[in-house]
Amino acid sequence: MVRVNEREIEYKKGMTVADAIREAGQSIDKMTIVIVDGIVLSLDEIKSVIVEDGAFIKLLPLISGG
Amino acid sequence: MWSKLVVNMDNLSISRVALEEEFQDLGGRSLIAQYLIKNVPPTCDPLGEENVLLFATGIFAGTRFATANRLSVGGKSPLTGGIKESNVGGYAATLLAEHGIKLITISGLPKDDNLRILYIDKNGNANLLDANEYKGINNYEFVEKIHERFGKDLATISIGSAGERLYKCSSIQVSEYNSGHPSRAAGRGGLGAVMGSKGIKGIVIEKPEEKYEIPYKDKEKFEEICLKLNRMIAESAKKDPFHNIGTISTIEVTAPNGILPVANFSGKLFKDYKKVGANKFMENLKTRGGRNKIPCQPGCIVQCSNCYNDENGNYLTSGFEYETIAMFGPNCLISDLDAIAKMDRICDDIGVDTIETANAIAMCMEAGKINWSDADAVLNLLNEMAEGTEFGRLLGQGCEAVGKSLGVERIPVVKHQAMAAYDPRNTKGTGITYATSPMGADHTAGLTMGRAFDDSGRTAQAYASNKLQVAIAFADSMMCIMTFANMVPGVPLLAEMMAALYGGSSDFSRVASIGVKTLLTEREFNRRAGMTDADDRLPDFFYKERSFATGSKFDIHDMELRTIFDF
Ligand code: SF4
Repeated sequence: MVRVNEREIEYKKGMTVADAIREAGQSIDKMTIVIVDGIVLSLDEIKSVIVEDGAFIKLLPLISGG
Repeated sequence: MWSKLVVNMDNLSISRVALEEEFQDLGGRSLIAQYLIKNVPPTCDPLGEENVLLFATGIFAGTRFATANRLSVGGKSPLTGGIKESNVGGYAATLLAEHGIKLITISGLPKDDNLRILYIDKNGNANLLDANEYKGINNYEFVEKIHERFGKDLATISIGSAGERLYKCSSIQVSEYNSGHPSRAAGRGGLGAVMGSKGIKGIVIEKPEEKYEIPYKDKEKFEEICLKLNRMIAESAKKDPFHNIGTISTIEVTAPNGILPVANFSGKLFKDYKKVGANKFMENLKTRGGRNKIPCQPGCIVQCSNCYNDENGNYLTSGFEYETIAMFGPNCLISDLDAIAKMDRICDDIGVDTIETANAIAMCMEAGKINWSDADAVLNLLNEMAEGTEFGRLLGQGCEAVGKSLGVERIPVVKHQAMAAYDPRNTKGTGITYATSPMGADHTAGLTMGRAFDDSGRTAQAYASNKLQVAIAFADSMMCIMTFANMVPGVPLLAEMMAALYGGSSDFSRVASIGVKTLLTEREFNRRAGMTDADDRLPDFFYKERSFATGSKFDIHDMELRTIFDF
């Protein structure tokens, strides 16, 4: 099982973070911060990083500027 | 009725009077604008006796509304020569509201060189105390001495040696809730110098014995709406990167998109940004006993603040924010987060705006006075500012003064104020805000990143900037803008909350008109101070040089900039 925000999806061997996000029906854009098990990944990295079973992917949209 | 504390430094008198009826339902930035246009000659010397330094609490101050207790500091800016409102968190506004004080005005100039503290005791009595023993000391030591002398059940508003020396980039530091660290900065525009010119080293506010009773028109209704909004904010904050990580998370978006300034807004990308990014920050917090999710003021649900420790686990700084990290980091080609944290600490301590100061230092790098990436050289320059050497004093006059003195051509300022950490070529609406905001180049005045149709395109950028500048002008009058971002669907309820608190209309136009009127008043102040359309423009190099990341130039026509406030 992989969790993407509140949604749980079935784990598939070899799936990337981007695959998991897509599978969970979530959309992201350049303002989204993607955190996988506590580590922030860039939008480039999510295309190649492989998800592990039990992973928790948080999608946090940046809504203001610091 | 809310009251006003009137401090006259000409004769060292203090009186507490009822706040004028016309100002009762204003607060924060809107109150600052209306007070200044009526009471301060726009052409006055910002460091002279006609300027008035203002501290205003917000429209919902003293209520349970999340982040209602922001503090707006205002006056004519010695840096921009125009109107200035600098918005800050910390504990001070909460205690002022508990005393029933909505506005402090400090006018005139003392006849002597003595330093004083404005002391508000637990019974609400205000006095000017001799503060010569604190002359030349910086904010952290000042707060420590105040705690030793008066205890810790208080809030401080203070200037460091920079404010005493009238540096144009000097800040006013406010103590953080709980920790008491003077790490919250009313940074922009050099208002610390105005405080220094008036001989006020600090304002100390004791927690009142009896809290001011807010005269709600309909308390039950107010509490009902307030609860609804607070719940909305709490729910949204769960997914806000500022809550989960801190404002440093912004770098994860700005860096890959060419919005993060690199090497004095060269338009290049910074491949090492992760060394000063969210993961490094979180790892350092975890391994050294630091913390995020800290509220800088009571009742904040977003809690974007933090406490950052050094490699030995000792407290180094707090309120360590994206702007500081971006401007001392990538914009100076520095990728050492600890070195940047040290820079932040020195800036808070001597009391200077990190954005203005870091830009001034980038000028030194651009001119070849120090090398790019040389963190030690930056720390040395900051120490020169602290010591008040000749060059340190020049740095204290801000980015433009340093750039001109060193013969730099690419000086990133608008209205003499240095730009914040967003490259205007790749967030053009933000560029429009930089150009047209009455505050000078200021990201908090209306950051459009991610909100316009296409950040590096031209379409609807002026529209986005206009809408956000209005929204921020009313938000700055009632809450922290980081909280505002978490309650956008609930914005119409703000008018209902105003009606329940003050009476009158509950129509949203009441809130929107606060934003519009504030902006137009600020622009009118600047016009009377001598500013023209030529001041509403970005520096030439943004129009000529392309961003390497996107190929984009700042190509917003002057006509669009001129008409942005034609409401
Ligand atoms: S959101 Fe951040 S800056 Fe705003 S009041 Fe809360 S802790 Fe302070």
